[in-house]
Amino acid sequence: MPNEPVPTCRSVTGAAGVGGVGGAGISLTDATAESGRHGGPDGAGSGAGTGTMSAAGGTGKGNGTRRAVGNGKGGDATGVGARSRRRLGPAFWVAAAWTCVIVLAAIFANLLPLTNPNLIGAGPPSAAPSLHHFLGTDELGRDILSRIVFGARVSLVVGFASIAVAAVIGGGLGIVAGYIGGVFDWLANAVAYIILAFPPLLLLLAIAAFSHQTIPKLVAEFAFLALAPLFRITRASTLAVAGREYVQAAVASGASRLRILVREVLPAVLPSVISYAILGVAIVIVGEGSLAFLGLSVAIPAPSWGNMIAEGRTLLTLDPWISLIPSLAMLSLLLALNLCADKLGEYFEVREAKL
Amino acid sequence: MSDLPPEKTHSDGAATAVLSVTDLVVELPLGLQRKVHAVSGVSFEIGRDETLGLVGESGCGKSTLAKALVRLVSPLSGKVLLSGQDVTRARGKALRSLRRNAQLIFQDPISSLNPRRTVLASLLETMSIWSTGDSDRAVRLLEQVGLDPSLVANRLPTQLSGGQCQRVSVARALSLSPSLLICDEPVSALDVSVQAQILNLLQDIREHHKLATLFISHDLSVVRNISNRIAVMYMGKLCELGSANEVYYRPLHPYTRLLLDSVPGLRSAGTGEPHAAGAPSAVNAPSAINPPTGCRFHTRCPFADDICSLQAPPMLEITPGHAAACHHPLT
Repeated sequence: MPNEPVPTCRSVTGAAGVGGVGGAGISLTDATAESGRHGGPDGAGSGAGTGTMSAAGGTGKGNGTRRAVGNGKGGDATGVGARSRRRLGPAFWVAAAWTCVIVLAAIFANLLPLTNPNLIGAGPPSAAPSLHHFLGTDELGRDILSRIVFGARVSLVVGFASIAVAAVIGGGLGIVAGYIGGVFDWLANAVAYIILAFPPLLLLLAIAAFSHQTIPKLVAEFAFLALAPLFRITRASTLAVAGREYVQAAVASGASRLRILVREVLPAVLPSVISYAILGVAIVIVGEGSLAFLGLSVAIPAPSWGNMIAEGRTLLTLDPWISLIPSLAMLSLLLALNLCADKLGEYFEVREAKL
Repeated sequence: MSDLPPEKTHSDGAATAVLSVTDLVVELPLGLQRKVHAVSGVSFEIGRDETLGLVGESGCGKSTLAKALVRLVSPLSGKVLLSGQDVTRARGKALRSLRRNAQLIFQDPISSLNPRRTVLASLLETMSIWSTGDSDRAVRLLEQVGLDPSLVANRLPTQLSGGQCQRVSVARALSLSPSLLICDEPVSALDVSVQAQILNLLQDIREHHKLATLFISHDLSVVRNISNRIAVMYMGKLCELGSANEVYYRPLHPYTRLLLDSVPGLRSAGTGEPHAAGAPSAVNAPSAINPPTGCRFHTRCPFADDICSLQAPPMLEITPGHAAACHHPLT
């Protein structure tokens, strides 16, 4: 595990954030020691005193009180306590919020007070950003803000849809292959290697050269390319989980294979697959942008971030914002997606590392 | 006999055996046609309310044997009868319900519990497989294994100590009302003080539930205290099987003596004299991929002669109730 668990520091900042009082931090190590004490029969050193308990009590509704739990329903108090110590951090939330803004704008583009993205002469050509056109206009006088928002649809739909398809199919096959093993695993693995060995850009260019690109076609192409990596990631995580003793314990309890896959393996595999898939979305968006830049994505005049960058590049010295704005849009979205994937991965990694 | 402590004698007939293993062979493929001869023809029985201790050094096939009993690994040949039903032949639902009848307790207490589930959720999940109970039963089980449900029920395994986790494992095993408990080095990962408590707990549980228990450990002194009988395993074969005190105080097989002598701080087996001249060598252990011919221990045995390297010794009852597989048993 790359990330050493640092429960103490995390918990201190966490507790200070909630209670605002220094010294209220009950670290995970304290909690374990405490459980040893109260658990009694296991006889972990009992001399260490009850200082932590009273310190927690000082915050009023500190950990001490939250730990008094009834058996059974409702009382997930310690679970909540444990979760509040692990934080995704503000960077994640900013990144996630920015992604949501772009996604929502793209979804509700028709409802927003935007001019038609393809309307030539909506403003003076190559106008700098102004109150009338927040992000300026391009050389044909089309509103760049409007084109950015509508263009986001292409990037987002291709990015998310292709990865969703790949994650469901590739991930599904990966988890089954990893758990069942045998001939099926061997075969699926061989196919994955063949797909991986194929140069992706070549495939995309070849398809684009022969047929007219549409969004569904782009989704299918990128889904196909993302299939193998997602299969491999899921399979690898599954193999790691399937050997764990708690999975073996479930087998020994007489649980069926399906039940073990769904109840034990899937929840353990899902976090890493999700964070990898988010990275995959970013990669596909770059891929689509590259194709669009080459004029091999959706047909012009339909806006796409890639073809907007391409159209503006001849005017780069005179009116840099025509290229720059779609570039920044893509950059910010990619940065946000990468941050989300990174922070999510870290979040779950820490959870695992504590084992 | 008079100098021996009173024995935990036990009379079991073949008819009442909860677990009966006959000639079990497990080979684990390594690829390239190589394989580990993990278990090579092991036979034993465990009766109701009896604890059989299984000892042997690391890598001798103890854990593989335990897993083969519930088909976590598939045996190559042999028979495993669990309450009269053959585990090696069962398939599908029949196998699953047989597995339920034999519960495993693993060495690593924390990783044998799902890290994403609270203690209560873990128990409920296991019980829901066979609808064997609700949260009331879970709470009772936790109390039974010496845990305070109000403190531990809603905690994650990472928030508990190793001893507490092992107690939860015991509770989980009990939740399926098995007839056989297989403990695979259940205390090796625990502190010595906690070890004793878990051992006491296991003994209480066995007596209370009249469970048959297979207790696996590399530590003879741990096994002696909890077992009625002890089986000693070396490189996939049993080399000695007898009542706990017999094996401990009058070992018949040179390997058993090596095990006893290698425990620091204990009196040496048998006469109490050091075996400087005849001490079996603890180094140069052969590999289970390519086991020695004849008696598998002959490469390390101080008493080995020609026949030992040619012919595998059969398991023979040398004194009543005490068998050994050795051409030159210590008497």
